[in-house]
Amino acid sequence: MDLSIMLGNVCFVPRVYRRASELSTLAMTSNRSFECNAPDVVFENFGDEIVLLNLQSGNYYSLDPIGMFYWEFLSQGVPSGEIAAHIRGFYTDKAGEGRIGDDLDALLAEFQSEGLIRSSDASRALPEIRATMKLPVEYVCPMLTRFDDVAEMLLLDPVHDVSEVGWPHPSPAIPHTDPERE
Amino acid sequence: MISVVVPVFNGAAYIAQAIDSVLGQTLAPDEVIVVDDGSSDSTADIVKRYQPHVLYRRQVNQGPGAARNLGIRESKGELLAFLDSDDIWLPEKLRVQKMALDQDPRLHLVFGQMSQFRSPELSSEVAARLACDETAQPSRLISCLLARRAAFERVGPLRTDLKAEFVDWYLRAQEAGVSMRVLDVLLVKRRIHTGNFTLQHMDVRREYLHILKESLDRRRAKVSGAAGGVP
Repeated sequence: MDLSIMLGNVCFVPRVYRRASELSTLAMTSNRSFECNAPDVVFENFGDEIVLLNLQSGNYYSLDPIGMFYWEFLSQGVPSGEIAAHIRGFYTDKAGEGRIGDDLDALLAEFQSEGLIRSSDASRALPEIRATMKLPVEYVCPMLTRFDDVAEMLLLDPVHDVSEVGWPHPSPAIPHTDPERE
Repeated sequence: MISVVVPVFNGAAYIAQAIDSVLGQTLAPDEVIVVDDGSSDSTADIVKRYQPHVLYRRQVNQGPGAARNLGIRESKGELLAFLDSDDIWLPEKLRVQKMALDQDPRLHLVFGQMSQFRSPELSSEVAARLACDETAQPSRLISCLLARRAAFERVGPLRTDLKAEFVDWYLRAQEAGVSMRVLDVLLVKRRIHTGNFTLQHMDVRREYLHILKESLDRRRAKVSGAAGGVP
């Protein structure tokens, strides 16, 4: 089911596939290293999806399993080409290598255009961390789904305007209310 | 009837200006409840000077979500507004928002525009370091809200275990289909001072991710349930 239908009134920006000729300026198929664009971008792996938040735009994102695999290694400095080669190799019999490469190039272009990653000089080898995640058995085109329904709120920082000694640091030891009428 | 809830914790520096901006509304609220979340500074003394125009309630320190919830429980109005103790309402705020609710009975949440200002006591050196966009911008912060009590009855109280509890509440309201609108009128001035850059704290950023994840899961479960499908 289309996630834009699933999630009702939440703005969903569908992924746009780009032709390879349009990607050349982004050096997609090269073997460059990247890292998460911290501290503006934070993310967490929840097991079934990775949720990312860009605090510069207020947009947040969901990544599905193959996208999660790609992001986990990319954000740790593994060169994009090495991750792509591993994924292509894993699905050799199940999907065309060219299609997978195009899908991953498009995903990387989206990470860049959404400001989620930046280039990195550091580079790590894929085998070092390969065991930490597994690819799903079936190949499904990786999706980065964007939401902007709370962007206005997040850009304004709705956390309360207090210093370190006050909110948002309530005392953790007090279990109940004790209203005092005056 | 309009009830205003002003939660405060150690807000002696700014609370008087916040209360003045509430009492100076061209449409006066019917009750103003200041909920003191266990302040240890002179907040209580300052607030009590405003009695009987302001009701003072105190709770042991539990955080802003619990303070707002107490204010909601103690209030009687069918319309609820909230003001953080360092922000300031412009005089027309309640009148303009109530008019919007009167014109559209289906509307439950009304927000408006907000601008920011550097707190005047800051030294020029400190003020220069603080980012402060002074242009009016649409705001869905709780200081900009006028809500029907029915919206809180439908969505439930604010969570008390979060720092960004209104982001969570707003997402729940959105999921519940609560009708909302942002007016194109400047209603609130938000004070920028040295204490309000808590977004920089990594634990709050991580909390945002969990709030967003929970919302995504709720929305998927709702659609899945409505379709009678497998989760």
